[in-house]
Amino acid sequence: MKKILLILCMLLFWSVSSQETISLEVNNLNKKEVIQLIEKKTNYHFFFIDSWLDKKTITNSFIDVKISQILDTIFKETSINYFILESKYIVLTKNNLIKKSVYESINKDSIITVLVDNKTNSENQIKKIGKEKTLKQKTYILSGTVINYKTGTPIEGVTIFEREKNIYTTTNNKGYYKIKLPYGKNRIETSFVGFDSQIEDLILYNNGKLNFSISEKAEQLDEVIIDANRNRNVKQTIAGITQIKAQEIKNIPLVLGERDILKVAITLPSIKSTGEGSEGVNVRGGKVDQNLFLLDNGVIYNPSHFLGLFSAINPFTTNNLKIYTGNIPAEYGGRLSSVFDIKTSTPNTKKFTGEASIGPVTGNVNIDIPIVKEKSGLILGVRSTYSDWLLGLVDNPDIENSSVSFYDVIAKYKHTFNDKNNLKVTGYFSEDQYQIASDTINKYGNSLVSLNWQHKFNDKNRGDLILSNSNYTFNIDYESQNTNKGFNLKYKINETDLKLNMKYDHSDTHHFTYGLESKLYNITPGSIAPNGATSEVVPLNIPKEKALENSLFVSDEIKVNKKLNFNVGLRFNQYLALGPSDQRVYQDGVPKNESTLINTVTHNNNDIFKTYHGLAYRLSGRYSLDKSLSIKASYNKSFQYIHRLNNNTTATPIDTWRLSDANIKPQEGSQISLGIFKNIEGNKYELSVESYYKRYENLLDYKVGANLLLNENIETEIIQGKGKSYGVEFLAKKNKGKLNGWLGYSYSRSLIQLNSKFTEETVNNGIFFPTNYDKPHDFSAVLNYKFTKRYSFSTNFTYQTGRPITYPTGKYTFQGSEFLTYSNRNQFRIPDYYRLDIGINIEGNHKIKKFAHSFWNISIYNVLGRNNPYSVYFETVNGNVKAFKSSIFSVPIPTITYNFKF
Amino acid sequence: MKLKKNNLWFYFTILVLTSCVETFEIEDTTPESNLVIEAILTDELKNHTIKLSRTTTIDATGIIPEKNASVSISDESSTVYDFQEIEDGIFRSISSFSAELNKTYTLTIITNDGNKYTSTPEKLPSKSDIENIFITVEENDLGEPEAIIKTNSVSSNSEGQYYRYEYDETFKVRAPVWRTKKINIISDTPPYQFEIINKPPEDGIGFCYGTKSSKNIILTETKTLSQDKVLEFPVRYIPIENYLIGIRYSIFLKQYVLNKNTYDYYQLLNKFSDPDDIFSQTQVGNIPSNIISSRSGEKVIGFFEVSTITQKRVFFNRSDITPDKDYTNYVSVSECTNSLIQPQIVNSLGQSPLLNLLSTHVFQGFPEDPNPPPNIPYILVARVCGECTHIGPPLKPDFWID
Repeated sequence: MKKILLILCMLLFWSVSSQETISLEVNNLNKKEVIQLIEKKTNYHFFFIDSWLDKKTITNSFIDVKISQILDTIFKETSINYFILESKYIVLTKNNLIKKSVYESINKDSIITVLVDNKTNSENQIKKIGKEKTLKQKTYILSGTVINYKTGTPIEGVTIFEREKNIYTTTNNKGYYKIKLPYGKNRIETSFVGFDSQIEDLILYNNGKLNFSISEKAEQLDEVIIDANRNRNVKQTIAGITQIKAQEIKNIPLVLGERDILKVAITLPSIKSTGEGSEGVNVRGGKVDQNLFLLDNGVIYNPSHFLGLFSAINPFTTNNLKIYTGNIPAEYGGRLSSVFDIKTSTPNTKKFTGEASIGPVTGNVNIDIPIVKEKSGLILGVRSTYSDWLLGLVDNPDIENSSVSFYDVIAKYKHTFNDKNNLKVTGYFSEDQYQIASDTINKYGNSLVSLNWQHKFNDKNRGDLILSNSNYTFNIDYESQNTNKGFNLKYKINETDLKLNMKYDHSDTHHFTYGLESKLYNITPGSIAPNGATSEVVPLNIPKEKALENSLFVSDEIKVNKKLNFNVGLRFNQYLALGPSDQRVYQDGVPKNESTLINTVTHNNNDIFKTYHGLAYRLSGRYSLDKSLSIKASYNKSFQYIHRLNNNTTATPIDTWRLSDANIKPQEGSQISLGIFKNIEGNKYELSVESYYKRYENLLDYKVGANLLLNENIETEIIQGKGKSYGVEFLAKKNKGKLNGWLGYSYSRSLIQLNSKFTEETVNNGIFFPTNYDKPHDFSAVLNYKFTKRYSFSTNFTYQTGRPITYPTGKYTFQGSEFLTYSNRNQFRIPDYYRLDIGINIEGNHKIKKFAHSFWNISIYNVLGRNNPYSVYFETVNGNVKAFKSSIFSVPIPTITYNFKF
Repeated sequence: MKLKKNNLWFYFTILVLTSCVETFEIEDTTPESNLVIEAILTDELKNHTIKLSRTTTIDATGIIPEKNASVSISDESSTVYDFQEIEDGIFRSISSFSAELNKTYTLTIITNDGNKYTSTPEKLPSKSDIENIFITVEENDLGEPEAIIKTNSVSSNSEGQYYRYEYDETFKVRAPVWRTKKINIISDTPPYQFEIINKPPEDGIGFCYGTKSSKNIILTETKTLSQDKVLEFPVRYIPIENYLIGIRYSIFLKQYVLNKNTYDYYQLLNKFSDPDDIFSQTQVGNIPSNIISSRSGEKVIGFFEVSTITQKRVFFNRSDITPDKDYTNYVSVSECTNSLIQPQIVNSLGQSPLLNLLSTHVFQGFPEDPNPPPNIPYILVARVCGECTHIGPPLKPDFWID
């Protein structure tokens, strides 16, 4: 640059009086190539900077034209000006016009030449906008878009203004703005709540573009109130949607120092867990297997670590979690009770950033790596336990020889091709290993890859094409040197899903979502292989299962008028059970067992041996009584073709998933719900009451003591029955102010009926009885109080009715030992569960320029030291029956976690 | 783009994870009284016995026998074997008989209240012999050495079987302070008179032979193995220092081959009474029996087992198990030394401390003093030290081979 300017100065006063004519054939050449061609063919020599020239190619033939004509053509739509010196040198400039003389009068309007004082503008580099023309206008149009620096999404409502001249405008819903500014020097500022303002000094030569990308204020402690969503609670058509933002959970007390988005979900009135140490959640009285966990559109079969104590979702890379518990939108299917839609943050394409946290159990690092500036970036998150020392601290000889370890890795890559196309790729891997009984090593893990191509056809049509593959495996390794029974057992489920999800904004009244989804399930239900030299275990391979689930869906969000909205969705499912398979045929109307087996039919690979069809519907409506009060109702039906087998009272990682086939029917569920939603003082307070009634068909349960693992004839152990659940949920939220948080209460029941003509298939005489996760009263309070900007205090209180259990009612002596007789299944309950956690959050200081931002969290889990019984069991010890209750955390557990961002 | 010093890894932690397991009192619920049936029919030719009782409340002690029932077993050829009550709730077949291969047997019980209980017809499974019984020493989960008694069965050609084991173990113990002489009471009223006499032969020579039966249900199967052979199956674990294996030990092992439904029944009994995973709880419930009551909906407890039986007895000496490790006797020498006492024949109140002590103590010896005071002529030691009859009879059982 300097060199060129020097030449420029030297040659400035040499002017060109006459130009020769040139003939030139330009065939698909870019500007630089054209320049090189001119240099080759003529005596002209160019001075320029490569980066000014774009790569657009030109095809044109010039015959006997002046050099200026050629240059005018080449640089037509660019900000490049040129200046010809002495028939020899051509100086290219960006924006500025080189004038032959400083006194050259350009125009009658005689606009004053821009003067730039370089000293006062040392901080801000002056931007030059537009190509200076000899003919000048008084004002020019500056336009551009404003996007969020971190997410790349356009921001609506940003004010763009020139302070001194009192000119301003705001961005539209695409982040676009247009502002008329006078020729010459301007200072443009942006202003938007919660975002740092950006100031650009610019010299406007012509109409031009200036894009802003503005960043959220670093660690905003005062609430950022984005009022666009203020009435979402009341206005949304569908009831039973909860959104949890990763940022919001920062102040909730932690379990063992882990920030956990799924644990926060459990504090909501519609979601329950069986207790510490159990996996999965129960949503509105539904079974654990009825929840669809999606991480960037890919299914996660087991979203928990360490026997359910931690969730397997990395809290730092998670942007938000949407939970559908009421009316599940038609685009989702395959599970009856809920959808947990977890989205990973968008990678930062501008700046390398990172965050790390250290807690007593795990360490966590995540980094944002821009790959191609403004276009693509990568998020990488890694989390791992340090060691087994956690279990080593347990003062229980049964546990001393145990070990637990886990880790998970997530990577998300996003590439923006242009305004209309982008591609997101997410990869996820998690693994757990634990050894509780000392000869058995259990391992389990998820892996997931998902690709999402987002395309915008036009303003009204856009679509997502999603391809994902999910895998869940577990492995039981039993090695015993001295017996012949060592074995290694492997289970695997894999699903590949292809989904086209289209959105069509027809009009203000109709917004359509439609598409199709096809899912291929492949299950390897288990193979067992001998382990160790002395093992005589026969290798056994339970045949694989395969099925294809196809769905078509369409839904329409109808705005009848301002007060009345409907959301109507239909989802047609087709389920094809595919061979190879040996399907056992049993006599009708009698219990399935070896003696009622008629024959076995063999089906070849990809033969369709059983088809199920189902039309699922999702109907919901909202009526606003006034701006802050609305009533919502919904009615829906769903189908589920995959079942989680578990004959324990709580879910475990070694529960197997099983597909529907000729002998196992798909589960069906329907729900009717009604809710009232009220906002007070904007959305400072949100109140809601929701009630629901659900019915289920073909819920899976088991004969007493069924063996579900490696069972070739699992249908002989299974009973399918009806279920129902109902409840009413109250939620009061305070979103703003020094004290914020929520209170939730629900009264709900969850019942199942296992009735048959045959006693072995009947439980509790065929009447409805409580499920294992029926917990009528559930209260939780999450409260957060900010003392100062840096210090805040948070508490979390949970109360739940004790879980139902089957209780011993008597005892007897059999072959010298005492044994128990039992009550009806789930006739009694374990003691109620309650727990109080507290936490103190300390933010690092808030110097703006500080390199790393730190954050401390000190929490005490179970402050009251409540010995919440997790399970109650009975053991015959030396011939006498003893009752035991076990709890996972029976004393207060303090933890300190340190986080920092860089 | 810069990755600066992110090595500010700094943390501080206090953590106590307590997984707590404790016992609690089982609260009593509505009492139920169901019939409990213990019926095992084997291929052994004998008078088979069947036990009937009632379920009790959880805090109850003892067994409530079911009396005056009519019990019979019939085979498929309609031969009926009747049973008679020989003791409260214990019924013995009037004639001796054995279950035969390829025949099915049905149990019928009519209780005193007129209720009828019938089993499904059960078939006798095939037979399998015990090949050998041996002892190994291994460390248990807690790192303590244990003697493990294991068995192999004779490999058979059949498809694979279900096995159950019972055992009676007999162990030889030694009284630490055994004397050939004992105190004989000549007069237990004043004037008190005692004399020292030689022990009769029935008092033994300082050894006793205790016998215990297995209490838990020991099961295994060969169905999942490549051959029908029980290999190195552990049936009994004894801590290495235990006096049971201090001198000589004998185990009488009974191996039953079961039908699958019987095996399943026992398996569930075990599963429900010995949960092995504290993190998850097995769904318990009443185990379906193969005996059905004529009163519909009535729970029936127990099972009618038809099985083949093989029995084998082996002996082990201490040196066979562990030649270099000493055992801990059932009572320590120091406890015995501490229990030594030299009581007066008559005290100042005219009572006899010696006489009173003889219920808990036995003769150990004479005081070393050449001229002992006449009122304290004997030294006594605690009875458990001088004798071992509380453990078992002092004479060799008939089967015992030294």
